[in-house]
Amino acid sequence: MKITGYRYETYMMKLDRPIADCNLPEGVELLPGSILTIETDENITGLSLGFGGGGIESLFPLIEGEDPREVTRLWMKIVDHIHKGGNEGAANYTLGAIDIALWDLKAKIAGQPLWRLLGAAHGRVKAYASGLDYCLSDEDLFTFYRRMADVGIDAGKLKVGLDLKADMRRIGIMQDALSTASKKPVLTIDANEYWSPKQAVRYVRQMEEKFDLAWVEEPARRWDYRGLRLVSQQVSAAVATGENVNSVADFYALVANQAVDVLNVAAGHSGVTGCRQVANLAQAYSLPVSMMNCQANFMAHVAAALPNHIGMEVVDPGREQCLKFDNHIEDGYIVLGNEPGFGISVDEVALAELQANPPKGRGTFPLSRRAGAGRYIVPLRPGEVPWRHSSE
Amino acid sequence: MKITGITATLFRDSLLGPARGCLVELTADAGLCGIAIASPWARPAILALGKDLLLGEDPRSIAGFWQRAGQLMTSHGDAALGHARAVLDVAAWDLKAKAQSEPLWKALGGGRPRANAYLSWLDADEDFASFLARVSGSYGTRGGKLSIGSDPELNRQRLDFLRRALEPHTHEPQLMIDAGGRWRPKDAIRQIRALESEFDLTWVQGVSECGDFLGSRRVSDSIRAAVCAGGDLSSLNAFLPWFHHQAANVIEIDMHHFGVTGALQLADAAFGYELPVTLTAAPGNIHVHLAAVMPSFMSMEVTPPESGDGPVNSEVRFESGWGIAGDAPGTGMTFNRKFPGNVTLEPVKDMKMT
Repeated sequence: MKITGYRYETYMMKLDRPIADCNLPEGVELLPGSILTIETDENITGLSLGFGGGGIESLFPLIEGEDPREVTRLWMKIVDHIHKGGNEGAANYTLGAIDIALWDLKAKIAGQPLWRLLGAAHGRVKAYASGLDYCLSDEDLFTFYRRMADVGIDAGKLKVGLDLKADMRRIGIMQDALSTASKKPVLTIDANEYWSPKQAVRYVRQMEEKFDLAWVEEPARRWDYRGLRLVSQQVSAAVATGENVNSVADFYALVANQAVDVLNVAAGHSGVTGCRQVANLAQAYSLPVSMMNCQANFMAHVAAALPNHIGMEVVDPGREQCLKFDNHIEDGYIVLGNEPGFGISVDEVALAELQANPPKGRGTFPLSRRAGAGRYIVPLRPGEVPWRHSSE
Repeated sequence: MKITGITATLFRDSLLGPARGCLVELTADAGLCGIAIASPWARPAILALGKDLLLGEDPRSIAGFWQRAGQLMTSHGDAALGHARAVLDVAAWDLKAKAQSEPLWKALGGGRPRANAYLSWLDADEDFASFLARVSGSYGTRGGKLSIGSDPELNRQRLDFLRRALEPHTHEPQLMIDAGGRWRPKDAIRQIRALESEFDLTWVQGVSECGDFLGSRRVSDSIRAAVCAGGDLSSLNAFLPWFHHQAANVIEIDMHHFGVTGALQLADAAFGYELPVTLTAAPGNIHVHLAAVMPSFMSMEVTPPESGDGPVNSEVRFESGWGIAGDAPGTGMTFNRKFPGNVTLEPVKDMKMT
């Protein structure tokens, strides 16, 4: 079997609700999407979901005519090719997109769902709810987490960072909403690199006087291994980080210096192949990993086969308008079906409609870094969020 | 025995070529004279230090002199030379920006600075009530720093007053304290932890004796607040152990030691270590210009009294807690020679050092 061609489609989608973190509290409604399909001489294709980038034409010659089942070798071939620039930027994005599509293809060729091809015993992955909720009113916040609790999810992650008192109130709302799924919901928070390490210590320690936090995510900059370690040493919660780094190489300094307690793994870590490398590094150091959210939860297939996976982020903001997928959430788990590969296919009619009539809405991904980050908190302005904050 | 005279005489040594030296002579009432040879550029400092610390003293009490001179160097920075370099650097930047008809912030490549400002209270200079009046006044600052003393209850009360004075401007005040280097690390940890049970402290400075970076690190590891350090360090190299040993979480830079050029170098190094930078108060608040180009700028200390209250006038103004520079070329600082106060300008004879 040989790789013969590809198809690359981009589109814009409007979410069911805005998403935000403390860097851009008002949030965004629009999200760019992309779909890479890799074609073979046997009329079987592999699919990959992403959100931009491009550059496939420059790397495709490296895999053209190759056997798609040799996905790990092809991953290494591309990595060696981009050696000088490294697994960075557009090249890393394209590497990941190709790798994901090749794993889809490999599982489809084997006639198995990817979770089984990767060796998982069950197609089930524990889920945690993550509202990307800085822009949600207290009522909408409750509604989101209660909806998650209704499908059995007993853990939640709140976006925090600009207003301690309000964040304390809102984590209580999240806890209440999840309390129908568990008497003691697992509570985590995410500051998206807005704080300096010591700001994080002050903020988290005050929250910990009232709440038992399982982890605090990105309390300092992604590469600041000494700052992250400082936070880890001074708070009770675990430090989670890594969603915005590029590959296992970027985790080296973090893991070697005990700067991270939970690794946030993602498709962005140079595809399925790279993501599994990160998880294996973590396993060697007895560290747990947590899979980042993605469209149609497709990375749950990878998470299902990881020995140290503790829970996958579920956001569910409505990113599947042009996708059909074979999984659902039940009893707090993402339950994967038995369709081959990722079990995802494209609704061509819906895709064509999105491309012909791009939706309109407020703000676009990604969320830029807020002023004051790492130095001092720039307080919320009136009207910046729909909930009550301390300066009101 | 008492020291009765100090002289420092520049000389040329014909045997050693054109280089000049400086003969230092200490004369005593017993008719004795002690001599030493110094570098010529040190002459003004030798005379100043000698007059302050040696004249009238018993020359046999040398240990006391060394100790007091050391304290003076600690509080005034390493040496007069370092300060001279910094001041000349500032004046040269002022000149360079004026030659380009640009305010300094633009000459440095920045946008108009809008710098997070805080007010500080130094025990000796101002009574506490007028400090609080400044805090709740028109600056609009969201932060304040107290020089704290040895009485924990008084420190607590004053912090509480400061917090209340900041309330009109913010619900999350930036409270900072300067312990003045009087504590041993464990004293610092006990005292600061006690304060932290009641106050959210943004940073604490002076937590260990000057130069004790390991003590500072130890304190930082044991409290919530950031440890701020650097205000008494006067060379880039002196910061290296502090960076390397994570002895400070906020880097304080004083233009008094670093001028403009050195301050920017140091700020880049701090940025590389992911450390926020705060700027010590400078005459005319001209340090606001540096905020425009420092990548991890956190805050500036405001110099009292405000512009217009002395012979130093400045374009820098404060609005809702932000320091804002003006458009006048250079630093925007002017000196009013006819200031109708008790300031008198004493003409000093020009001194050439060659």
